[in-house]
Amino acid sequence: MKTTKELVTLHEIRGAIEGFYDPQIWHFVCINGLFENDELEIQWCFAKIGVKDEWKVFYAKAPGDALLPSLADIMPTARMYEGELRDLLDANFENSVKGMFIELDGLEAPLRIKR
Amino acid sequence: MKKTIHIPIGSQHISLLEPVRFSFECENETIIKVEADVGYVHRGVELACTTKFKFKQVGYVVARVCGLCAIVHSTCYTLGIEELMGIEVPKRASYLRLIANELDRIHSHLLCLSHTAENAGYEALFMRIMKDRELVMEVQEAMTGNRIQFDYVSIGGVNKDMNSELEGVIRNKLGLLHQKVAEIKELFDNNWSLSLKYKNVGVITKEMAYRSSLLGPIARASGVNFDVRNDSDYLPYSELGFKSITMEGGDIHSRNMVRLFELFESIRLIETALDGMPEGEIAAKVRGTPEGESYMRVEAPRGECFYYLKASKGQYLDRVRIKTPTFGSVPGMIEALKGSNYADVPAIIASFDPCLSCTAR
Repeated sequence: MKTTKELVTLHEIRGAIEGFYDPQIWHFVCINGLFENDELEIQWCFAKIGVKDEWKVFYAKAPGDALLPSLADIMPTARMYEGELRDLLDANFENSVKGMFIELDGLEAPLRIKR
Repeated sequence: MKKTIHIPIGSQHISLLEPVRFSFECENETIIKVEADVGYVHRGVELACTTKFKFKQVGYVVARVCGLCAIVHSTCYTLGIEELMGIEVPKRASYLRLIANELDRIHSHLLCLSHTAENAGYEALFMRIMKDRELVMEVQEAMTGNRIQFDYVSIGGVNKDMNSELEGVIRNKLGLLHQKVAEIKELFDNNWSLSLKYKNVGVITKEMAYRSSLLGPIARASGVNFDVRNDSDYLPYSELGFKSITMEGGDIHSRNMVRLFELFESIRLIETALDGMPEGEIAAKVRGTPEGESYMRVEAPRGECFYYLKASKGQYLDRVRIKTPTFGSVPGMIEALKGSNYADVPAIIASFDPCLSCTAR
């Protein structure tokens, strides 16, 4: 398994992925999110098509209330993951609205709950 | 004169197997805009996996994400944990896992095909496929102890070994199933009712498939040769000469045919695995606790299933992230629906084989 992780800022992520992403070479797997130490970590995960177990992960760290850039215009599927992380982690992606993944009367940002 | 009509379908509707809501804007009979809402059965599995259950129990929890692909979820999670703990799984266990995963694909594909037949008004074929599907359900029960939601995979290996009697049952039933699938394939290929309903309907071009990051049989039916069984050595597929199936049409018919050809390939993989089944243990000893990050994916019946795990040497994991194939296919489904005839909506949705239990988890 070869996983390359690249730390980027929220300002750099759009340019980094625009320059990197060719959908015929890299498969966009998903956007992943973590909330640790009152900080969000957002990961944009890609796997190389036709190559065994090669991953590229761009990740950015941001305060919990930061406005996060939406990349749905580059990768339409990103809209789904952005909506999901909006509901589960209260990650505030541009143009995302609450209620796509969890009903509005459900738990508020359940993955921010501490054990 | 064009008339614009707004039509909702769901969250509960006779044409939907599971709760999902689509909102269509139509000009006369043609769909021009689609919105989807998928979050009706969220159960908080990711939260439960880090707060309620220890890492050794989580494999059995994620098997409950979905009845159809239980083994896929437990396999993907277990492979991730084994990577974090540096566990080397016995080769025999890997072969047994591969057989269980392919049996799962067979019964899931047959279920999808039965529903697509039903959507074409061919209810007799629906019943026939469901009857033939019993062959693989019986094999799953004989091998794992359960028809579905089998807790077969465990950290380090599998929970139950194979013997010659069981091998005979599998070979016998899969031999029968092979004949049945060949007959079903002829019907899907040549029957006028199915062709009329499914050829050139719900088309996704290769470019759309790439752009929408489509996966599984949907992408392969549009000519995209993307299959995790090719792109990862998570189970010994390359040793068994796995060949992915692709077609070019991108329509419902092509998606059905990809699934049908995959049934033959799954049966062949299982028979080849039985022929070359290695001797030895079925599970490695598990010591210690996981630490680090793991990115793991497997090929579920509907496409790529992905697990991200993060652990810091505790009994509880820091993060379990599950990405399921249907969730990633929703934008592609919306593209396929746009421009289609409203009457084709149930058939197009069924051809995506959506699994909302997985999606909302």
